[in-house]
Amino acid sequence: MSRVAALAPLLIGCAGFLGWLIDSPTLKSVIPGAATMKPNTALGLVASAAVLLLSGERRIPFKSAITWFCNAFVLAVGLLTLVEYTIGVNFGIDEFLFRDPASIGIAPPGRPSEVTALCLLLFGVALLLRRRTATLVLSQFPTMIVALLSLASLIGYVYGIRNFARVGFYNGIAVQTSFSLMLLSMSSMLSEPEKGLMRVLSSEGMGSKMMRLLLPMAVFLPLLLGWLRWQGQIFGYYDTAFGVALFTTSSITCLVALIWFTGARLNRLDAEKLQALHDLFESEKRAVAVLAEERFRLSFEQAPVGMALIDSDGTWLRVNRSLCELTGYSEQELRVLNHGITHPADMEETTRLVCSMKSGETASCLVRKRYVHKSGRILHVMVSVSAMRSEQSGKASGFVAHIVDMTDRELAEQAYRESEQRFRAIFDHTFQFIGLLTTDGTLLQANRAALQFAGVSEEHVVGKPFWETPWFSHSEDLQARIRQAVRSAAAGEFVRLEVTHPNARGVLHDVDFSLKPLRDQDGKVTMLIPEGRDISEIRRAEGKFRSLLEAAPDAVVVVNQEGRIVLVNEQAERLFGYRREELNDRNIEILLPECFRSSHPALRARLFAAPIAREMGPGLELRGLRRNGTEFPVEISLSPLETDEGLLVFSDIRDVTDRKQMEAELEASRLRAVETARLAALGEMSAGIAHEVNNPLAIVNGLAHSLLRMAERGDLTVADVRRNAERSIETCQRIARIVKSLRHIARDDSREDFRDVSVCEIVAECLELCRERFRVHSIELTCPEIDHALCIRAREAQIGQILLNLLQNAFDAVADSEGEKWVAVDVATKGGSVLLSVSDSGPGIPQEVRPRIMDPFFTTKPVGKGTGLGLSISRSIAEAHSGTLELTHADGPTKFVLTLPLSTVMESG
Amino acid sequence: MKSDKSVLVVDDEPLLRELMSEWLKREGYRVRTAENGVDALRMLEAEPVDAIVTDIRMPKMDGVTLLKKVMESSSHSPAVLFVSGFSDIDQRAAYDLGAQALIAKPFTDEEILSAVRRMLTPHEELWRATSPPAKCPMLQSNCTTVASAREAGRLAFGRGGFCMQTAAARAEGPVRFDLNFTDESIHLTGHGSIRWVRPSVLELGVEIACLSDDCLQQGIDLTVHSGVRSYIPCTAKAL
Repeated sequence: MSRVAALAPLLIGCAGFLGWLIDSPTLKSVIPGAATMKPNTALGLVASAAVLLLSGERRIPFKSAITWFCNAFVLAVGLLTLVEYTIGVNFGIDEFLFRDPASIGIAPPGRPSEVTALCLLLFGVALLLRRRTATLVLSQFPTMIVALLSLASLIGYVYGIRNFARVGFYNGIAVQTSFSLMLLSMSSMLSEPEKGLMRVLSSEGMGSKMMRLLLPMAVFLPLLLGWLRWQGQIFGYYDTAFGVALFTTSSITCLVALIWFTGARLNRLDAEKLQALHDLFESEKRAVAVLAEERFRLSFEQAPVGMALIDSDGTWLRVNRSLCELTGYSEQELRVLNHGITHPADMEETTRLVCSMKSGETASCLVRKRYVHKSGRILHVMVSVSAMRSEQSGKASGFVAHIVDMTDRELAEQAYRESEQRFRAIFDHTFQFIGLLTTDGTLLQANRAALQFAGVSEEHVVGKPFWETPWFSHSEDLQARIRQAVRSAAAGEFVRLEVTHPNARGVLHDVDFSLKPLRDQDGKVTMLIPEGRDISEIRRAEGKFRSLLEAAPDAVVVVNQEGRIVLVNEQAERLFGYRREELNDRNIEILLPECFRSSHPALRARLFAAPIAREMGPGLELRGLRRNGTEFPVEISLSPLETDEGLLVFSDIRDVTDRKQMEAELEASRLRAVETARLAALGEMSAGIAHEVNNPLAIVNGLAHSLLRMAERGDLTVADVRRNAERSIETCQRIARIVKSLRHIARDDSREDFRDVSVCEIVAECLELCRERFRVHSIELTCPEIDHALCIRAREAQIGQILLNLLQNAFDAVADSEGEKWVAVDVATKGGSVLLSVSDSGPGIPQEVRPRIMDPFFTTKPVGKGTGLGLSISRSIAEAHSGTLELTHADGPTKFVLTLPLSTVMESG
Repeated sequence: MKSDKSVLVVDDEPLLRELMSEWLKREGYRVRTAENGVDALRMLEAEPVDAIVTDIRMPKMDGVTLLKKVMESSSHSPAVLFVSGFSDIDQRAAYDLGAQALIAKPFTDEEILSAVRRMLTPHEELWRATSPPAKCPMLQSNCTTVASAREAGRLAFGRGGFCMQTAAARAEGPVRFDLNFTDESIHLTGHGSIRWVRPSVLELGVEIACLSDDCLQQGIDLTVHSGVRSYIPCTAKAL
């Protein structure tokens, strides 16, 4: 409203200014011939309206500057114009923008009227005062003056008194200017309706209401009556006196009617107010009732326990959320189900109670019962039902049920009962003897095992001092110890003893007995728990274990994690020469030779870290140390065992002196077998060699005998002697050659060092030993010329043995065969090796036999003709010389190839 | 001393061949020599000999094969003397094969000549009674017939001796014998030498040295003319 009132003067001002711009008389002056709105007035109205419009706006750039400028402009126009009028000067501001020739002679051209200038000045001041809250109210006074001045000007226009505005010092004020100023004043007043003068008009009090009714009448009624009276006089209906009387009468009449109407209106308002008060009171009353209902609803709905409202027929009317949550059913479902959620087993009792409650026999009840949860789970609940009695009849109008979930408590109680049962079961069925004593030693309770053991019933022993019970009655000494133990336990000690109990037949059993104090929350000993464990079986088992340990064929030493000896058997005592007392709790390392001691703890730690049964130091020559300082070879197997005393390791120690000796003997016998094979090979050769030797021997012998005969006959000539002597010498050289060969080949050099030997010599000597035999058997024995410089690093007899063995085998293969018979020895070099091969014209080695030909004791020769060790030993000799012995048989005659590395001496040479 | 007897010397050793040939020639025998069994057989085919002195180990054909071939070739075979090297053959096998003597190298000229002489002496002359050595043991046998004794494995005759089963184990050496075949009225008494003993089977081989005059011809008929090949059989058991 205020903003619309301000917008109109802005538009009017703009229109006026536009009129000057386009020189439109209509826009300058609405009523032809009437005063025009001056340019400065138009700008002043626009500026004033702008200040009012901007005051409500918040987000206008340069708002403050613009309002200050506009305010100052309004003040300046008003003030300067008034000064011009007062002191009769022209500052040149009137026609600063436009010329106003039309006003020449009537008024100063272009200058606003004095009233307009005054109004602008007052409004400018009012705008200035409005800027601060403290002076806001003051601004209303100049505004009111502007409103009255503009009203007076407007009344002049209404009554058609053109000169009304020119009375006195007034200059002509345009009608649109008056209207604009009026609107500006209203806008300014309405913009702050609750402050200053406007508060009287705008409040809700009776006076303000009456004022708002009367004020428009007070302005417009005299205006209307005055205008009518004036018009009547103008048309000549009456004269001035009649006109005044008429005006007065009509004014009184209107005023009385107005006051009458106002009084009636006020009375009606008063009655309305009373009615409103009454209504208010009634609604308050209703609100309180609703509140009470709401409180009940809330407490019902939000009660932590389940609640149900039940009508007199037993039907559930309402159930609360807790009950829904408890049972898992929705409210609708519960309303249908009612007591149906009761556990079938409790249904009969529930029906009975409901009937009793309905008949009024019972006013309230409290029962424990079971419901079935929607999920099928059993709920234990406590239900309390109370009747709601109607005040008039005193009959039960319904019931309220409170349902408390007792399931947890029920389960806890059940758990307690089960725990109690379990305790009883354990207490009574354990093998251990358990009881309960007062602190003075009186027996309160004894379990079944203890009673059955002694063959007594509970009433015979309960209430007696513990030491007088049958378990201890057999020994006074024991009774004294138990009495003492009770005293110690009552003082808070844990007592443990090994005792004996006689069983029902009087046989004494070993018992591991303990007495424990039982304390209350304050730490005070309230009871004692005697406990006994029959360890006779364990004692027997220990005895058995001990016998087994002692009967073990090997020495057993049991060691704990720290390496301390825990247990040894008799064999260990015997083996190491210590008595067991000397070994117990000693470090295991005293049984180890010095050289093993440093590394042993780490090895032991490794075993304890990964305890698995295994052999100790596989592949190592382990040795034990006797008390007398001698060492002996051992084999040890370790078996870790988890026991009450922690991890223990059982070391099973076996003296392997005998076995080592046996192994040494085996090795010796193997060596002997090798030697035997060598000799056997030599033996086979020797028949041939004997023949070799025998023939020249027979020759020499024969030559000698011939000479002897000649001498006896006396016909011996020098020529005969020479001839026979020469033949003898020649023949003896043959023998010498053979013997020399034998000397090299047939000796045992297996323990001698390797030396450089000539391949040529070894081959020649071997051939020498065989040549005759091959010749006799018509076997062609061939061998190429061998380079004398060819040397190998070897034991020559051993190499000779291989060659002889190969030659012998070749001989055997060929001897009995038909057709051409030959054996060929060949020598070749390849890389750094010499290849000695022996091939023959024999039938060859059958395919199936070849893989086994080098196996020890494998032979294809008739019984008595070969040991079967030849090739196997030959190969091992070759390997000992870093060489190989192989059979090649590819599509040709049997050929054995002995490959040996050439001597480095020779290679470098 | 001239003899019309011929001897074939077979040896692959030229010097030995030459020596033995010299010794036999000087003794008056007609001597021929061969290098091996094959040559010897060829020469025998061309012209038979009365005795053969042969080495055992020889290329091409050894002495044993030569003997077998000779024995197979005719019923009237020359006497054969084996000159053996080092354990080429044992006496028992040699006698069984038909060799009449076995001499081991080295040998003397006398050993060779004496053996050849014995071989070439007729049995009637050779086995004529000579006094037995003093204190030599006696072998006795009482059987019904020669054939039954042979079949029973108790006694078997060769051309120069017999093999006998006897409970009394004897050592080699001179021995007297008394062999009675009741059903055939043959009663051989005389003496000889035990050449081999096999205690395991209670057998021994005896070379006859002398037969009593009254049984000489019976003895020669039973042995030399029996047509058996062995000089002394290697076993009494029927083969």
